[in-house]
Amino acid sequence: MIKRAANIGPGAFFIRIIVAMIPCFALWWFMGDGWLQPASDMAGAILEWLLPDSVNSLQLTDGTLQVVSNWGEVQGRLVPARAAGYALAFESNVRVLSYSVPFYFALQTALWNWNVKKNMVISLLVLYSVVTVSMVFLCAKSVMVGLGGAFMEANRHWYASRDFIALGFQLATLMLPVLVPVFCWIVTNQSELRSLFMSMSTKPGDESNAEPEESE
Amino acid sequence: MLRYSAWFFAVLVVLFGLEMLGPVQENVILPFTAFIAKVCVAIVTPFDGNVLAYGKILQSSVNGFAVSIEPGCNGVEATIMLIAAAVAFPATLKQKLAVVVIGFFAIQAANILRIISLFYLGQWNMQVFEWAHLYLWPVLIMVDVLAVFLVWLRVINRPLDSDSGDEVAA
Repeated sequence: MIKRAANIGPGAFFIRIIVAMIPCFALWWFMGDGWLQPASDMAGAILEWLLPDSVNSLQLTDGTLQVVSNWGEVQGRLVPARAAGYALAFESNVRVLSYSVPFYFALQTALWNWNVKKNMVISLLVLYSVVTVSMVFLCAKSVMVGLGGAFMEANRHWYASRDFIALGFQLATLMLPVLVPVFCWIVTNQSELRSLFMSMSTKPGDESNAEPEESE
Repeated sequence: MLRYSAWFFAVLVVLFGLEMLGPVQENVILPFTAFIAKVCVAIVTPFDGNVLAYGKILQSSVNGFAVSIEPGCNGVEATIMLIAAAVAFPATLKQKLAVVVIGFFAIQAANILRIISLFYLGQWNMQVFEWAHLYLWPVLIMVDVLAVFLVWLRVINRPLDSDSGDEVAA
């Protein structure tokens, strides 16, 4: 019988997070990337719409996003794909974004609070949306770096500026995959976390720190 | 919670934007990253005399394997998240400063452990290195941030959904 986190204390709770990561990440790894196909399709549609002169299509295979550009290379010079006879493609590892989902499940498993199913569904939708937007930045950065000057020449919109894409890419890869799961998890489990971290420090008569009502 | 979240993301984006500025990278982030590399060497050298550091690069003199500590691998982003959480949360200035300082050292301790472990994992098995580098350690560093923040909440005796601004001092 697995106890809810509120009954085990904070120290054991953090050990439980580490332990919960093992099955969650194993499942994520062996599940493959089929569940990311809709996100990849959506990110591809967004890229083709925003950067029509640079992006031809987006494909997802074995954890790798492949952006096919509208450019090819002839004698070291970038030319339109039709003139080159082939199109340059750039690859990105999509798992650097999607590990946010097993991380969220590891946190949720560690807390062992399954009474918030509706909030969990909303959290997963938020995570999926963030992964989708992050894919757009990840691929935009790959194309921007791969095509260099030709990309800048072809895309003069504000959203295709080097700084905007670079900032979006850094946020999407460095912060969002770890931040969004934690944020969703905290928002989803406020009362449970309150009882886990506040119960031992409640002052008599202090209502703001009183034991929360049981959420079950 | 809504006000706290808005403050948190506002502070986060501002600090992250500042970190990305060229002069900040050049004068703060890169020297700090090089310092982290030197600290790693200072810790490892007593146990392994075959480690060299130049700038932000850590290299084994035995097999030539090297790791470069890039911006993004120096714990600064994790610290920014903790600062944003502390600034946004209603607490006294002293309490906020305390969690930022303690959190900074907790994050850097985990980050140094991360760099050293990756340095040796890379010499052993590149697949394990990639896995630890890309997926495992970012999560562990975030759990470190989360632990510092939640324990801090417990110490200052404030519930997570506290939204009263009566004690905001910073």
